Amino acid sequence: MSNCHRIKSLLSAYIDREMTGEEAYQIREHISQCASCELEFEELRRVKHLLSTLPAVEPSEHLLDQVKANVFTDEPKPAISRKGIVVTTSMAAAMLFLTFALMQWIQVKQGGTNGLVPADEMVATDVRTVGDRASGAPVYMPVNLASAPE
Amino acid sequence: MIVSWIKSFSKPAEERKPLFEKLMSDSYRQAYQMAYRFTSNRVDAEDLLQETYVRAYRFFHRYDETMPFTSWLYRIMTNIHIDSVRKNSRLRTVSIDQGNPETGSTWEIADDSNQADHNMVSNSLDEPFQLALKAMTPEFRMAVILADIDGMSYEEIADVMDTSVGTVRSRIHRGRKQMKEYLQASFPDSLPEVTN
Ligand SMILES: [Zn+2]
Repeated sequence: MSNCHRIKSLLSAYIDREMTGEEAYQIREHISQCASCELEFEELRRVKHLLSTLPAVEPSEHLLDQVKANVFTDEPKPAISRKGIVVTTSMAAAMLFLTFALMQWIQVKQGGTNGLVPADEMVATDVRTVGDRASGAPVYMPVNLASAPE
Repeated sequence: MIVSWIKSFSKPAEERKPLFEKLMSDSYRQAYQMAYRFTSNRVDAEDLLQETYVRAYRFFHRYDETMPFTSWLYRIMTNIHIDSVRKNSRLRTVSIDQGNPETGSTWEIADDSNQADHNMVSNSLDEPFQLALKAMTPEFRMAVILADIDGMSYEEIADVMDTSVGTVRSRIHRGRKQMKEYLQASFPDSLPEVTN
C-alpha cells in the first residue's frame, strides 16, 4: 500500500485540478477503491472549501487615506502599534537627526565636548529593537525615546 | 517584458503617481484581505499593508506591467511578512533564553504582541480558521491563502513566491494538512461535511 502515500501527497493538486488528466484519472480510480485515501481527500476538500468561503474582512474606513498619506509623503507619519511606535525608515532617519541635534544642544549647554555621547552608543542603549533599515521593515522604538530635556 | 520595464522606468514621477494611486485604490481591499489572513489581526494587517504600498511605490519603476499588479504587490507583501515573522521568532527565542519577567525583559514587545494577536483573533467570528492559519508554517500559510482565498493558480503563486510550481504544490498540500490536523485537534466540530 505504498501507493497510498504517493496518492495522498497528490490529493491537494487533484482538488485544485493542477495536474495532468492521466494523473487525475489514476487518483480517481484509487480513491474509488481505498477508504483511507478517500477520507483524506474529503477532509482536504473541506479545508479548501472552508477557506474559500471565509467572509471578507472590511478594512477600516480611513485606511486608504492613511496608506496614501504614508506612500506619497517623504516623511510618513508613524503608525501607532501596540506598546511601541512603528517608525518607517525615513522616520528613523529623522530620529537620528534629532539625536544629533540633541547632542549639539548638550554640547552647547556644557560648553565643550565632554558630554557628547557617540550616536552609535546612544542608539544601542535607547532603541530596543532595530529593524532592517535597508529593507524598510518597521523599526520598533520605545515610546519615551524622544522625550525632550527640561 | 524588457520594453515595458523600460517604459515604466522612463515614466516621469508626475505620471507614475496618478497611475500608482489608481492601482492602489483598485487593489487595497483585496490586498487587505491577504494581509489580514497572513497576520491574523487588524493592527498587523494595516502595518503590513502600509509597508507593502510604501515599498511598492519606492520600487514602482521596476514594476513589469505584463505581470498583474496584485501579483507584484503580493510578492512584496510575502517578502515583508516572511522577514517580519523570522524577526519575531528570533526575538521570541531570545526572550525565552534571556528574558526575565521579574526585572522587565528588554524584549517584552515581541512577547506582548504575540498575546495581543491572540486576543484580537479570539474576538473574530472565524476564530478557529484564523488560529489554524496562524499555527501554520509561514510559507505554507501564504501558499494556501493565495490559492484558497485569492484563488490563484499554482503558476501564479510560484511567480509571487518566486519558487517552482512543484514547491507550491508541496507547500499547499502540507499547509492544508497542517490546517486539517490543527482543526481536528483543537476544534473537532469545525470541519463539517461539504455538501456539493
Ligand atoms: Zn489509498
